Amino acid sequence: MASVLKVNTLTGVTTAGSIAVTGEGNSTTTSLQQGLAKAWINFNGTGTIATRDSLNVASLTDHSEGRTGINFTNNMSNDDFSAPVGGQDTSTRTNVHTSFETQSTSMVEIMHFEGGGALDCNRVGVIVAGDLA
Amino acid sequence: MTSQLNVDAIVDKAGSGGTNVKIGNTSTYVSDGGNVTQNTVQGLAKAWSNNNMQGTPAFNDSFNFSSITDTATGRQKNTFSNNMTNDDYAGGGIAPVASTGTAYSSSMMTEQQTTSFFSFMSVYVGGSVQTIHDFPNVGLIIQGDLA
Repeated sequence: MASVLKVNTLTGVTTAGSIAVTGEGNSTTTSLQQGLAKAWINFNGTGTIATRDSLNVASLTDHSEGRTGINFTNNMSNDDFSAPVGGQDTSTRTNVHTSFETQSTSMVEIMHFEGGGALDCNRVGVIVAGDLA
Repeated sequence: MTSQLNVDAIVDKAGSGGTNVKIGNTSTYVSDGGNVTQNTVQGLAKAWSNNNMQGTPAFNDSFNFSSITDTATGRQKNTFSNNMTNDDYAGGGIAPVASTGTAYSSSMMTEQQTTSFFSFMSVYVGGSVQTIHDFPNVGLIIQGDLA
């Protein structure tokens, strides 16, 4: 018979921020907290920059053409987090590249290039994995 | 009334593993640093893949993708098994340095995203020249709202 346990918060006993879950192969355990994305966003970087959907993002800052700061609601523990990105090119398809530029506990800055110069990007996806404060 | 369960490990009722455990979509977890809580389900990757774009396209490994469509050199479409709620999700990825040519950087770009598929283009840049390329292992992660 299936069992259902209803709770609002999951907390580790030994360490509050560390709960182990069994891996798909049933032979090891992995940290639930470490496996979760701590922030993600899909935003429109053209015109007045705007968030389409997000997790743990308080605001966006338009630093300059193609350069956008993503400000966290809950900060990270350190600036050693990973942030894979995906940018959608406009129409040039020439020397297109999206990467993260700077990062701190409170924000990560994304930059989009096309044709050798920075350019505002219509659709940018960013995912943050690391240690939440 | 707020409820809290203190545990060190979550497994299914049979105790054989965690594959049958279900987590409600409003559940929260305590952060790594122990200072804040966030939604658990929002933090879970909804799909990921490692695509071999060379030859007959194939997943080296994947989660919640059912098929690949090879649309052109360096361009592929991954179709979800379980669809997303909307097309506002985040897709991030990375392409390796190309094994041919003088490559200074590689990247994966979003081509199109819908509730049922995510398509991308992968390139490498050597000097001032960008080349669309089939890589043997492009990594992709999808975060957002599952239907």
